[in-house]
Amino acid sequence: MNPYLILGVPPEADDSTIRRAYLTAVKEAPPDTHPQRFQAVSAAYDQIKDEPSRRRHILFDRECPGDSPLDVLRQFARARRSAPLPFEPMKEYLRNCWKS
Amino acid sequence: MNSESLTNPDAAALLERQVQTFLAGGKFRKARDEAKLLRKLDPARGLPLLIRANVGLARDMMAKRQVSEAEQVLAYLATIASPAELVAVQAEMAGHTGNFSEAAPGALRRLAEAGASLPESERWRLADLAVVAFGGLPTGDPATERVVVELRAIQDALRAVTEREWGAAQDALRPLPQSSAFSHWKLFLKGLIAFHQDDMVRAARCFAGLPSETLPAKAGVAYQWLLGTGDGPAARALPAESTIESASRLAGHPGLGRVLYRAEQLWRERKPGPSYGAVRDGLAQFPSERPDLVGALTDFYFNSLFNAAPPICERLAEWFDRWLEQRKPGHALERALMLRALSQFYLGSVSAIELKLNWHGFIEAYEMVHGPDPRLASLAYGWLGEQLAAAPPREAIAFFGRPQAMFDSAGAVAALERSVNLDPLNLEAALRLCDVYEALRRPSERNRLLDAMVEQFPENKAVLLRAARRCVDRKAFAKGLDYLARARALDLLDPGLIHQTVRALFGQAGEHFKRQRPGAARAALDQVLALAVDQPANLACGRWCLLTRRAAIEEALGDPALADDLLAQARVSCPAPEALLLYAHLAQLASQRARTHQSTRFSREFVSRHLKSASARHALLLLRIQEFWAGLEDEESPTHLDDPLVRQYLAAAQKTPFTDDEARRLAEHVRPESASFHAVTGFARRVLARDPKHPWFRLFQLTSQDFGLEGGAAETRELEAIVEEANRRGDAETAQRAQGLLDRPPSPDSPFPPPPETWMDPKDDEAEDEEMGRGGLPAGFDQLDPNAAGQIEEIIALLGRLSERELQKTRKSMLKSGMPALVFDTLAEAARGGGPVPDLSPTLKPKPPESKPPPRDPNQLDLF
Repeated sequence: MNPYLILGVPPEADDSTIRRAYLTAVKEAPPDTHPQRFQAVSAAYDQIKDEPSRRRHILFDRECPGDSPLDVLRQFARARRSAPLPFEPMKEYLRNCWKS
Repeated sequence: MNSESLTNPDAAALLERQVQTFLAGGKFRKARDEAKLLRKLDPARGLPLLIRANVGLARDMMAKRQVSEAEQVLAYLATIASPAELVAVQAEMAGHTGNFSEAAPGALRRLAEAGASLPESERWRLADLAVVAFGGLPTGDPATERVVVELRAIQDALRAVTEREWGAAQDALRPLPQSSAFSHWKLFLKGLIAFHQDDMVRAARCFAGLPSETLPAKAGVAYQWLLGTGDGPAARALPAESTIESASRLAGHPGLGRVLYRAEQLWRERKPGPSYGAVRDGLAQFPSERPDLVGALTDFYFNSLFNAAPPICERLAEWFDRWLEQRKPGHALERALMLRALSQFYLGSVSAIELKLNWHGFIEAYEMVHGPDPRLASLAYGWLGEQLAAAPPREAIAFFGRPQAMFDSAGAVAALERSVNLDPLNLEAALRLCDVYEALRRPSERNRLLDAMVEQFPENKAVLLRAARRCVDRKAFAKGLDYLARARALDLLDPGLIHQTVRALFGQAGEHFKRQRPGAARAALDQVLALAVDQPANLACGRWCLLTRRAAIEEALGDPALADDLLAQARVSCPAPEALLLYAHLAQLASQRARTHQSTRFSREFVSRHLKSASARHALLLLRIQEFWAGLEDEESPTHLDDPLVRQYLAAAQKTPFTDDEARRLAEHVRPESASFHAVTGFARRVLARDPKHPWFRLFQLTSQDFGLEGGAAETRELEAIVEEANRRGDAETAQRAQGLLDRPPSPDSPFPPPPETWMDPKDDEAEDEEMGRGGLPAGFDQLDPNAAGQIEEIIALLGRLSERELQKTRKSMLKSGMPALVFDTLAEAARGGGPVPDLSPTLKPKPPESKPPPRDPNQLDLF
């Protein structure tokens, strides 16, 4: 999955922003309680921690975020699992489910 | 039912039965018509059925999105039914018309008044309506107070979940009793908390436990799908479009359901190109580099070239290719992404010019999107240079032709020079360019570059070491030693730097001796000894080794008497006298830059005094010494001359008593490509002669066969026997290794891949016989490059000069590099004198080039 997405930073983020996001993510997902998430966060940080890494990521990234379009959706939602829908979109979501 | 029958006294009962049947069958319109008649006959029996039929009809219409028709039915219902009876269906209606807040108070009242007595499904429906109304809650009404408290708990918990206040959410839910009308919401919220806290098992359990008719169950479907638990057919089935839409909403991208559903369908039908097209046409923002779902889909399609199964990725690449040719990419980013992916995907299977065109096109398009970025371009051209400097892909017959060292040497130099010019701090590119100059034998450019690099990276150990090495190569010892001193100041303990310093000092001493400056030479040699360590096993810097090297140089170029003194000192710390002699012999050949086989006084002494007393105990050290000298830089290494010395020693040692452990250490150490390998296998044979079941040596013998493992039945039996014997003797390591070989999947590099696709298909044999019978050449020849045909005689002559063993080794490596066995065997047979030189030219058919698109507008791009 896209390292920017995992760390929740925009592509134009600088080193210090990325570092801060990484530390926050690690704090939220320490290796002893969230080993998989921690691994993903560490790998993401390694890919974009400084300018040369970010350029290399642009040129040579080959990581596929899923096996099929729907798997991408699933992986994407999983990657964002720690961020639930805000209240208003959640309200909208439930009302849509009612109508369906 | 006609009017006559209505007069029949049993007509009411008959009508009632019919209405019931229609209701049960979901035929509400017919049920309503019959119920109307029944109501006329018997209002007490007819009215409830008429109400039920109309309620069913209204629900049916709502399900079919016929909202206005349903509203008419509800309006009629309001004239015949009590308000309490209509609360549930009106609540459903509110969901469709959006008037939740109007319907919610009625639902709450109904729940409060008759909650316990209501059918479960109606209770759930009313509770769901009350929740999704999200309106202000009535206060001060004692009748609804209890229900309002429960509803507030649900709403508070839901808000807390959306604000990631997991503890607050759980606190809000705690007081809710199991009997509450909102208990299914409690379960749903618990599932949400577990889902967002990464507790997949608990989340799945909660969502699975929801009653199916309820709103939380509907809302939970998308969560369950996202959890993706299970691996059965149900888990793999294409979900409903509504589920995908819900999941997209949860992922923060509402409105993608239809596009993703279609894209997935096409992907599953193995149509990756149209699947890409569906997403491209359906999403205006696609492709995107943003870290969102569209960005993830972009990564997915472009990186699928490297991750999807071969037919899929090939189809997708062809599809991208066609799009590029038709100039369809809508904008520069799409073009850049396609070119980047294709350049890397087709690497090794396209011409250098096409690779350059694609990659250059990528950089150009990328800069159109993001503006010029010299560092990125430098990195990109560095990569291109690296690819062009790599060995070209081997064709079947390439071994016999003159192999090209580089794919495109001129292109490699141009790309790397461009890379270094764009970013002089791109060390990787500079080092690569240095290697390319080296390989192309362009020393002046290499040296200029190295000097510039030393200026640019004055504190980079790798640069200093490389510069030093090249200085030593060209005998600029002082400069080289200066670089080495600077590098060692950065890292005193790096053994590579110490070895290079030793090499430079010995070289410098040799040069001084040749120029009749023995004082300066010995000063350099004294510095060498300052680097000595008291580790007899350290062949590079161990004290006895350095003393021996110094003795050898004195013997060859300086004072032989001094050499004897030094050797005497070396003997003190040397573990075996024959090791010292071999080391001195090789060192002397190195100092003389010997290029032909020469004996020295050390080799003569070695043969006369030590061959008779050879022992397996010291043989390992001799092998290591031989490898040490073989591993030194080419100019210094004379070991290709001295295989006989070590081989003779090994042969003699085999005839003396030795232990299994000594033999095993030798066998473990020797590399199959070493000239001493055959001599070492003699030890294994002797061990097996005295202990035929020895599992480790049986495995060694099996794996060191000329052809490696072939995977036959006999081999499998032998491996099984080895496993059994190793287990019996408690040799777990050998048992595990043998078992690993038994379990291994067929290697893609193996010359013996599994049937039937590529190898040893019986049909191939028949085709081959037929082909040979026609006096032509075996089928394998159609893979030859016609350009190689003219070289056949030369090739056969070359093969004819090889010994049988060398021939077999060549065969093995050729098969590994992709040459058809039939081709090699036919040529080898001719080389052995088994037949006339075949005239290949009429029968050679060049392999048709793979259908790659021609380069795009080669004239429009001025590359390098």
